[in-house]
Amino acid sequence: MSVHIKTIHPMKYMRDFLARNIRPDGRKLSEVRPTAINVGSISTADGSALVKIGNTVVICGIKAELTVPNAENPNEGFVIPNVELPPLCSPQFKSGPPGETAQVSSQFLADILVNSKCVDLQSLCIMPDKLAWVLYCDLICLDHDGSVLDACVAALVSALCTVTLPEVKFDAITKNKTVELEKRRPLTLTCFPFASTFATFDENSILADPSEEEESLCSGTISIVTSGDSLYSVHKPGGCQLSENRLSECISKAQKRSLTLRGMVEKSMESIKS
Amino acid sequence: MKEPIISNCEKAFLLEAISESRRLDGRGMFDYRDLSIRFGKDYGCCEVSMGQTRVLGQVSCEIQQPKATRPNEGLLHINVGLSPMGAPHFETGRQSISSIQLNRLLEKCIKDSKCIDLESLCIVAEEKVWCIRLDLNILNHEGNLIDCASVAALAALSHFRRPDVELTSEGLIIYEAAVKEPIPLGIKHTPICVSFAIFNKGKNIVVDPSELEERVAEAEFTLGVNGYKELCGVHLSGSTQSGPTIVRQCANKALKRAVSVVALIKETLAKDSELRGSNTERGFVECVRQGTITSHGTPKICLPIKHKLPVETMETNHEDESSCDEVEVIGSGTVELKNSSVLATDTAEQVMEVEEKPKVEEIALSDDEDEVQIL
Amino acid sequence: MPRPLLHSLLSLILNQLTRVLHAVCSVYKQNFLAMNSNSSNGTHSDDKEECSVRPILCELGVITRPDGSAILTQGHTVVMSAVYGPSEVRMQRLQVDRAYVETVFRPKAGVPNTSDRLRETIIRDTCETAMIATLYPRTTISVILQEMEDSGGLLACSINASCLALMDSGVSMKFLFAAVTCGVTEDDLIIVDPDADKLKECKASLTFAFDSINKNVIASYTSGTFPVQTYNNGLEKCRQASDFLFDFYRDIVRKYASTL
Repeated sequence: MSVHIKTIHPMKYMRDFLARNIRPDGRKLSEVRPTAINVGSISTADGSALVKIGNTVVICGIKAELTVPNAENPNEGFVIPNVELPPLCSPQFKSGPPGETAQVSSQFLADILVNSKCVDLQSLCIMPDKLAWVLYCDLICLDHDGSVLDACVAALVSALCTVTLPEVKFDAITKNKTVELEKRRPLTLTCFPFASTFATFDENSILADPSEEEESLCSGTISIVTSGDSLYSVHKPGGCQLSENRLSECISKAQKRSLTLRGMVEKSMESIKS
Repeated sequence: MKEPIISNCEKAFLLEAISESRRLDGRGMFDYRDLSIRFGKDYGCCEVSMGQTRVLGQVSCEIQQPKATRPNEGLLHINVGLSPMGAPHFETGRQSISSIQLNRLLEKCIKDSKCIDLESLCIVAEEKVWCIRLDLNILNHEGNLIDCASVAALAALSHFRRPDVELTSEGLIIYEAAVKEPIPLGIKHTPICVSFAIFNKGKNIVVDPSELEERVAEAEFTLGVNGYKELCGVHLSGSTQSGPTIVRQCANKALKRAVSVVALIKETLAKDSELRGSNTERGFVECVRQGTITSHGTPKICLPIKHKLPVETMETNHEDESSCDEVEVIGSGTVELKNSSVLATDTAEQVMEVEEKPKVEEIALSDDEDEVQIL
Repeated sequence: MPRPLLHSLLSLILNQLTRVLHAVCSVYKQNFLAMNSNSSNGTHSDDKEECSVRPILCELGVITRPDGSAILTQGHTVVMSAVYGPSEVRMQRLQVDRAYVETVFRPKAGVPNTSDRLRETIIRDTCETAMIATLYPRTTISVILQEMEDSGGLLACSINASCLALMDSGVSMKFLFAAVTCGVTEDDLIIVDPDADKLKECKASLTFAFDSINKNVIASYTSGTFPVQTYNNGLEKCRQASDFLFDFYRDIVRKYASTL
């Protein structure tokens, strides 16, 4: 019977559940789905991670290349995130050039990297104005079931943790560069930002870590990126109007979650070291 | 959204009027709409309006590697963006035929006529040159985009200043505007485009066509002309069977027009630099404050053929203006006939009614009246 | 209930109501005056008060082709906006229960990039929240924004300009919306509606959009790093500043209605 109500009256179906403070999949409103992080999943990449939040799966691979720094910032390298949402992950996406959602997600990640300064770009520079590292971070969504931004940020940050860069010797006069693949040093992150998405059904029902179905029935989402103390982004593009108290609640929940996620990343890093 | 269709009735009405040497917005065959130029606060930014057609021009620059074939020349890119703001059928992303045509015409007129001194934009041959980029955004499309865009292009280019650079042993130093006075582009001559719409196998020619006239005309003839009365581009779109005389006729008109337009651009530029010198408030903010950017000031409803009427009827017409608000709501000015694709015939009728009342004895429109009723 | 008791109760309620109304009126008057003096003298005072905004100027119906248009200046940031619709929709975008809202943001120089895309989604979602899209099923409503001058607070100015254009177009809306930007300085002080020079000195900037009824947050966009407390402070200051904008809207509508 419930299946029929869901098809005919999706909103009522949702509302009836929320009125009883429970969600269709049995979670409480502020309960997040089981999360799994795997680091170093791709052995051929310079850094990689796979993050699974409920059904949502995002894999991130990082490739380091040598390049010439920009004329404006001669002593900085680059980190370029790129999110791909292939038709594989959800029927709503088509193949071909990146669609709006993919572009916006990529830009969101790029903004977070700039805001949080979690990768010290100057540490990526080998010789000012001559040689620097560029980290191409390719994120591919394998299963799109809501809160993809959370998974993307987590995958990006955990993949960046695993990045090791080979030593490069650059001769300024002969312009010869020698890459010593054996001598690798790890990239250090200054902070660990994590995103938490909430869907707003109405003023009183805010769902943490929404699934695809919940996202489509809710009027909007809020994504909060934080490392526990500092905020790096509070991104709420429209959607249901919220009072300040509600926003604060979300922020404190996001802070707690970011600490748990950070713990997970640290544990998984230890596990590959040992 | 698709471009609204012009009904046969509208077409016939316009052609009839044109063959009687009348235009729907009350202009004479060789009257231009008001041209005004406003400069923004930044260098190389201007907004040009020709009647209600508006174009925003912005010039920007960056340092790039030159082309291998021309190692000691800077680059000039012209890009006309048909923003959906201008008209609902313009789409973003895709290059439409009309945008390619506009782009090419401007390139012919400005780039191929070597109006910008590209050699002066070279910093290090084969390595670093300035790449000048001209972006034109169509804000409102009420016909004759090319003329308006070409004026905006010339005004923006002559207004633009690039930062000064110096080549030292340590590398290239780019000076900010506050440190060293930026340098204007070298402009050798001042080309603009002047367009004519040709009707009835060349029998009727109008200057500065409106959107409806452009679409009904059998051909549009665009001439690139500079302030020194030289031709630098000729383009005929559409086809017309007319003799060579109209080329000469149009060219003469275009040359005169170019002189006055170039004079206006120079005058406005001089005013702007005076304002900059005295450090007074300028830019679009000032334009909005002074109401020079407004359209509410200009009459939105200009009923066709109105100025041919005796004074008394004019007055009745004015009264009509307030009572026929529907006309304004549906479209505005000359647009009223074509802006409403769904209501095309209805609108035509309404407009007719409004006009007919005062001018039945003035102009025998009985034929048109029949047509309307048949439709 | 005995009659005299009822009577006294009623009069009490009435009394309270008038008092509240008076308070509201006087507050509104003050704001209105502040806004007026702010926008009419037009000079940019450096020692800005905590919650004042840069002078605002606006004109509705600037261009003829769209169904609604506006040009809005906030300080030296100028944005032109246009609304087309409800109009015919492309088959792939057809929604049977509501209008498809699309937003196009055009920078004045160069081709639109991904950060313009992000801006577009924020503006679109904000507009979609405010308008009653379900009234126009199987149609498109397009909101087009053109940057004309940028000297700080471009996103906020664009959101406000889109609200004005929607107002001009006559699309039904649940409420109006206004956006305010604030900058966060190195020592966590809030500057409301900073211009480009001041924004450069800031370590973070926060932009909020509010609705006109409860002044709740519709949209939030941030850049830079900041502590939670600063976020809340900024939110509160911006909320107060949004009153100027809503008063300005009211004033614009009043003027506009009288010229029509």
